[in-house]
Amino acid sequence: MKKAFYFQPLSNAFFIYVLCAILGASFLHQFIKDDPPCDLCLLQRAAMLGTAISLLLNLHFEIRVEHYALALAYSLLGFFSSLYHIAIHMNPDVEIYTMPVMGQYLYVWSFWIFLSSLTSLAILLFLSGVMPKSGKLRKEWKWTAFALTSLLAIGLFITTFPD
Amino acid sequence: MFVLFAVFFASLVSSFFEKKKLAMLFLLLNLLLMGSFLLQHEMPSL
Repeated sequence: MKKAFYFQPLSNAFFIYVLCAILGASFLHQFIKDDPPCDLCLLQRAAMLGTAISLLLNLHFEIRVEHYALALAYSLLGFFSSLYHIAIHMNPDVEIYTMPVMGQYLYVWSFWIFLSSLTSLAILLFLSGVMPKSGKLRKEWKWTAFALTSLLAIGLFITTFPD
Repeated sequence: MFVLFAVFFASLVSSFFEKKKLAMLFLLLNLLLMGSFLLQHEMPSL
């Protein structure tokens, strides 16, 4: 019973950590492989960060449907953005500047990430109505997620700031 | 594009200071900005 009580905040924290890890990996790829992102790639990164910050509101304040709605909206925007990006590169005349990672281009990975994000959010939203009101996690979990998202927001701001 | 990340950071700062409505307002503003950016993105000629 106690596990179910903490299921919502724990899964939210895990979700945020996964999104931060993906954003961090894309940062590493950008600098190590010297592969600067295009505008649509940045939009997809922003959508991931938006999903993470919306879920952070669940941890920081309380589990609420409106926070999930924001996260769903960001994931949907990222999903359509990556679908649009894939559609652009279906055209053989459009040159692909990025290099593949584990056999797929980053925008294709982004499509799968947003698809799984939408599915997970739908499940979490469903469970938020079924399960009893959640307790709060230990503060360290929340502040780690807070620090990670803040660092990523600052990093993305600095790297996109015009010269 | 950097404006998007500045607004995200503003949202994080306002949630740090327990201003939940302001944080959500910033997130909604960013959603609108990103939506308009996606709609305005030029489709390469096919």
